[in-house]
Amino acid sequence: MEENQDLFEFKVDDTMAQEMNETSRWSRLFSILVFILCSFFLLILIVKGQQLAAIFSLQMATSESTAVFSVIIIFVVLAMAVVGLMMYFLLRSANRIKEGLRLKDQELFNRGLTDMKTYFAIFGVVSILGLLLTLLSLL
Amino acid sequence: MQEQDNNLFSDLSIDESAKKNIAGIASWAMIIVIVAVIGYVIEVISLFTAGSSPVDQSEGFGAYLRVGSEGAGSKIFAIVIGVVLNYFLYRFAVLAKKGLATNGMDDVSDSFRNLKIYFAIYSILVIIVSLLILLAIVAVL
Repeated sequence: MEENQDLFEFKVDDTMAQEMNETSRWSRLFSILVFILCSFFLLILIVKGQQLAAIFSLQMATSESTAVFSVIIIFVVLAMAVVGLMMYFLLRSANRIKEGLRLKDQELFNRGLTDMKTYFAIFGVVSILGLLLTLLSLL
Repeated sequence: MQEQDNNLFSDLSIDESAKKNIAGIASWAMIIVIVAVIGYVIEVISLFTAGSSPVDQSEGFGAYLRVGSEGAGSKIFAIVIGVVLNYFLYRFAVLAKKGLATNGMDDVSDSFRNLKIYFAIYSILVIIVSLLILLAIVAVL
């Protein structure tokens, strides 16, 4: 039975290991860069939040500008939280795959792939929601 | 000799769990590509329909329309970059599924090469965007 199962498995050769290692390196860099960018935006929102609100209310020139600005801020913070969660899974995936390959740890390697699947699943759901919102805005 | 045997048996493999995970990644990647392509088609259609609206009748919205026409260029640029990015994601999804179905190591390796390019392009884009934001802030200060 186990022999049959082994027939459907294949070893990670040097080329595949190298490609996976480089993929995890680039995905790690990408997630760290996005973390930095999100932190930077949050810092601007915290430090210059009141100035931004004043500029926004001048541009809108309506009584509801504060409420609209609050909704935008909540939306931006929520979006950053989702992006942060995605990047957390991507970073963990990159670290686990890299360590799994280095230590030849099958379980760590598989958990890294699970994290990458979670990252792509969240990305997929966010993409579908984005498309639905675009379609709704066209109606 | 004993150590060599140990190394041989401690090699990583694409086992059932890894296969399920890679197949899952490929499926979600394909969904992302399909959704993105639908989004690009909608964007292109909206660009064409917006372009055919009469400009002269929009009295008082001159500034908005100027911004809109400049926005069309950046939208097309974003769509082109998006198509390139999604092409690599699509290649990853197709090759990974093919490799898993046929136990083709080369296909799985190639699929991860495409995923690497996808993340590399994304990383370079994030660096460029970060630099542009930094330049804009420096210009304002």
